[in-house]
Amino acid sequence: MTDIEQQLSTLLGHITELPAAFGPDSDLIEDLALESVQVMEFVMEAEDHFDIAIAQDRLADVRTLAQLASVIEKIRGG
Amino acid sequence: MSLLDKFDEVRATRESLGPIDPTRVVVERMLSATRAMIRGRETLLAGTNNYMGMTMEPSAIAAGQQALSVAGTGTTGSRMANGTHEAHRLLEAELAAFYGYPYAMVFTTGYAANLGVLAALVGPGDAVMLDAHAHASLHDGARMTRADVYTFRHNDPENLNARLRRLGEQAKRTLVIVEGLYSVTGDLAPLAAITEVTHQHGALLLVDEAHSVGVIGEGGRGVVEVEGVLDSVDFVVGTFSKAFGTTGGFCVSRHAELNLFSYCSRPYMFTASPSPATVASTRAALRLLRDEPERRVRLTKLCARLLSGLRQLGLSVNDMPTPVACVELPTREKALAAWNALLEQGVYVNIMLPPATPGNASLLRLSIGAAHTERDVDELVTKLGAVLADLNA
Repeated sequence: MTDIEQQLSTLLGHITELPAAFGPDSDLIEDLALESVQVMEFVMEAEDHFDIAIAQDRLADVRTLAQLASVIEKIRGG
Repeated sequence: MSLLDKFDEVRATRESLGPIDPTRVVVERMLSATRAMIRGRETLLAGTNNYMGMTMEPSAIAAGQQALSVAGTGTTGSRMANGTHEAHRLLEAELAAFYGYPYAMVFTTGYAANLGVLAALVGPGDAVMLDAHAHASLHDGARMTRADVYTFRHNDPENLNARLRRLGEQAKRTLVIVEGLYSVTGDLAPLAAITEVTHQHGALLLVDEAHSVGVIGEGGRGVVEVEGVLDSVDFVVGTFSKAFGTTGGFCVSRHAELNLFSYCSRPYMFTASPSPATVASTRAALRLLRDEPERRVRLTKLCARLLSGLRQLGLSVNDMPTPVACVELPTREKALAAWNALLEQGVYVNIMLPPATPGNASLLRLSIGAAHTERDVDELVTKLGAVLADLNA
């Protein structure tokens, strides 16, 4: 895992129990069965942790931790 | 996979709801503003939004009947075409005067008001900052605008401040959206702090008072009145389908631009206007909400009685007496069992299940109104207590 993925994994662990097989390419909806309210809470946690703003439309194609980490990297990189 | 295959999941969810589908309850006959026949049984209604008992108010009924006979059953047109009658204009003037604002706009439903105002106000390049617990219509409206959509933590002005700061220059093109009274949990927005933070960043604030207009505040003007921010909020939206007992929605504002919204709000343009009878009943209800504050005093006492009763059952409730209270059950199955048991005992409440609930909780939503009696409130508390005791036995 990259550093951002590791931090996101820790944040996600506060919201739901992560299975042993969970990895950066696991599907947040299919594998973790996250509800939409939990996804919103996770994104807000990530925004506060990284001190960034993530518009909802940037999440349209995000299914995994790795994809969310990529979005965050792009926002932080300007 | 065909278009219809997705309904397999819907079907499975529906079958998991138990013996009675809570979304398919039929009111067979209204007996009063607070009681109805449901499943052949007289039932106490403790899950409507008839906060001021207006649905059965004689003067509102008479006004609707009179308009029906004089102006007909409908307008058959949009407000932008033939759908603006003199009564629509008068209702707008009366609403503006009620709030002390110069401008008001009436929509066909509360949902259309939220969609319509957002469609006019924000677009690509702008931003919308929603409270995380805001109503689905506000989230839907925000998505329709193609603006950047963000959320902030529920009722947390500090978090709002941090998030507006992160937007930088875009904060000046941001609409912050909150509700006055949150319809599921019954808690109020800290509007004074939210207004201050919003304006510090050059953003505008829209407050949805759907569940609080006519209900909260000495003059019935909602949480904006209670929090002392009538002069500083930018837009207030609301619905007539709760305290007013009819249907329709509105927006009032101190900004003259509200008068131009009609030219750029598709949900306003492409819908037939409210019927003459609806407008007449709404105007009659507004007069009562404005001129008879004792109705709110009575409701506040009933709310306090409900909260006291719920506390005696050991339940956690809000400090502020509002007509909405929610009871959290540990599981979806227990919430469904409690809801069914209450209906079997002649009490109708709402049930809210994940994923459509704050915190993914399984909730019973209780609501009362000014037309309820103290005995009604006591009956609700007593039967709820018995049902919860049975579940825990």
